[in-house]
Amino acid sequence: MAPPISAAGTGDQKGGAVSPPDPWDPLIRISHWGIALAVLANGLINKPGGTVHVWVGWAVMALLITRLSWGFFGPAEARFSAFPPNPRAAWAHLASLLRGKPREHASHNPAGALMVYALWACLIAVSITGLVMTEGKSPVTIAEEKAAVAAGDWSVLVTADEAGDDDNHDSRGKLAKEVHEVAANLMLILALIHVGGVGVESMALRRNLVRPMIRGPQRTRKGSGA
Amino acid sequence: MTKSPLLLALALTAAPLAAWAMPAVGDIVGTNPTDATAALAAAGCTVTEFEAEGGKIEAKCTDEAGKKHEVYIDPKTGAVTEIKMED
Repeated sequence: MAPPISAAGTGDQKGGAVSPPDPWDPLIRISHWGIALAVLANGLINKPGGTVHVWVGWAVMALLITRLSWGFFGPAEARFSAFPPNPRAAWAHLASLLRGKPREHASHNPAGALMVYALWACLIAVSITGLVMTEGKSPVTIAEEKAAVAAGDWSVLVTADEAGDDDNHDSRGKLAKEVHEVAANLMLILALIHVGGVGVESMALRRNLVRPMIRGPQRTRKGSGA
Repeated sequence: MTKSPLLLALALTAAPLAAWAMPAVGDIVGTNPTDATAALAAAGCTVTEFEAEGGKIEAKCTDEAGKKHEVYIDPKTGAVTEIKMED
């Protein structure tokens, strides 16, 4: 691991070479809040298996794919190479945080980076299992099927269900559902920890880490808390 | 046949207690809403709604004790594949 510049004293310099950009790249901001909203909506509000739930899931997949490709093609701070997964560095960062002197990093700090990868892993697991459960049907198809069944026509499901061995099919569906739920709940817990981590880190750095994720720099403006 | 009155008596005694378990996995209830509504009603669960979920039909029904059940039906065979109870 490349040793980061250790001086916490460079904190005067906002959005400089040794701290994350202020603001973050627009695509990062959009995907961040889009995914956050979608996770809360699908995890806590939308009816599981409902048309809205599936639509939101597909939107999340689009955002996730965009963000992950940005990890290869985006600006420096968005690339995976800027925040490689490094558990040892993450522990070191948490230790420095406990001492009240966290180091600055040009992208996500190592602990934040691990969180990012954990959340992405959950999102991928939830997306894939969601597709298995819905048999890859688009939200449009699912809405049509639900409308037909609500109108009393069950045959739409029969013609669509040609996956062969029904027992296998059912057990795969059950497994997918289990994984979907566990990964989704894990993601909500991780998101809470993430929010806590941002709070602690913001206090330690005496800098609002949320603001660069929302809008541009406001170095000269006062009293305009985002 | 000598023990059938006893069984019958047991069944009658147990029936109200077993109301929550009336429809069972494997029961054939039908492949259309009319048949399934009738079969589930005969089993002691009044259907309020059918919904498509995960390639199955989810029948929401209320038993005699007022408890809600989600009965999943295979639309191809008409068989109950899973029953969940709602609190």
